[in-house]
Amino acid sequence: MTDAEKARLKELYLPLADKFTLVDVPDMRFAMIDGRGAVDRAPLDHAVKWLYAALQPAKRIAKDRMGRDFVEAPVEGLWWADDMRDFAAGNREKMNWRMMVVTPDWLTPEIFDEGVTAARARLGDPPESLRVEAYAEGLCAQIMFIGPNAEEVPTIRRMHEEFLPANGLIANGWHHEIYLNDARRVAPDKRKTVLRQPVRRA
Amino acid sequence: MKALTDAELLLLGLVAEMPRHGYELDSVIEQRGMREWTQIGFSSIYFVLGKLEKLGLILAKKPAGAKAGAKARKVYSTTAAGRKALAAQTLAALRDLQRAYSSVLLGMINFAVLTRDGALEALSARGEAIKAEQARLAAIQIERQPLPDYVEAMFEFSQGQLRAEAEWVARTHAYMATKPWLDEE
Repeated sequence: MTDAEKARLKELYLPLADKFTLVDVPDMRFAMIDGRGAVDRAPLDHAVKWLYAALQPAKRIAKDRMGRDFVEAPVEGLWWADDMRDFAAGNREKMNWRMMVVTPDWLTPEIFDEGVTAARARLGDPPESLRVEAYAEGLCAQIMFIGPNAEEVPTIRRMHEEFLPANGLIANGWHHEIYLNDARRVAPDKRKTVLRQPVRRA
Repeated sequence: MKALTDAELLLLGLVAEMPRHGYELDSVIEQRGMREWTQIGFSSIYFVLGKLEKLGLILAKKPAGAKAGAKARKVYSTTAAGRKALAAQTLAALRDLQRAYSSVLLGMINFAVLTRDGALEALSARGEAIKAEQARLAAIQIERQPLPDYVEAMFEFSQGQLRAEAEWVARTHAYMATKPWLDEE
């Protein structure tokens, strides 16, 4: 991996934790599954399991091709609410979500289908919304949040109510979270999550 | 300090990830399929926790108002000594090569007592058993997703060993099948 590539990965996935920064996010393709509500984590966990299971053959090929340059892709989540007040209050049970894992450019439908078929034998039918699709964000504000996800709300509010207006920016897309740690293996107060918000100049 | 047993090291590692209840430990071991890698019985979890506590490697905190002895509801966390012991022994586990004896070696030691057909059949059966184990591991790897990279590497380790053994079985089978068998009846 070149230094420039390393720096780019850092810019996209390891933003500063002590202040909001702007980043230009390239269009990427993701394997994704949609859902609604998060009272019970089971559908979320099931979606994440399916994404990684379906991408197993792609990962095998990526490891062979890229060798030491291969980096595991984190789980990412988009969250949006029909009523903005639910979003502002962090009422996850009233929000829609999309769980996503980034895929390589060379991922063909055949390689993806191979993974889905192998996973189906173990996990049953896939969630209906499972698909691979491009997602574009462009200019984004982001910050590294360290702590339990339930305590993100004040940071998200600060981004929307202070950082964006102060910089002449308007939210322009869905709230995006990148989960850098597995919640089952890392203590809540140490969990790292990138909080990202697509924006446009006012 | 004395080397910890596999079960002790495993539980110490889980408690070091984050403070956990006794009952949580059992379900985490189950969910992660840790009995795949090491031997730990259901009943021995609290015995092992008790031992780690006596060694001063973990702390057990009773929830307020809980009856004494309610082990399942105690919250376990590591001490500084516990984290130090965990790091030292984990490094040793990575570093030190231990000899493991496969049953196939005992089979080869006494190979000369076998008939050709019996020996070839047994080697073929071993080849099939290896294939079945490879498929079983691949299935578990799908069911356990998502996995951190270091656990993916554990699966790669096991699959690599099985691949090497499968090659050996195929080569040995081919050789034994073609060489003149001295005591052929």
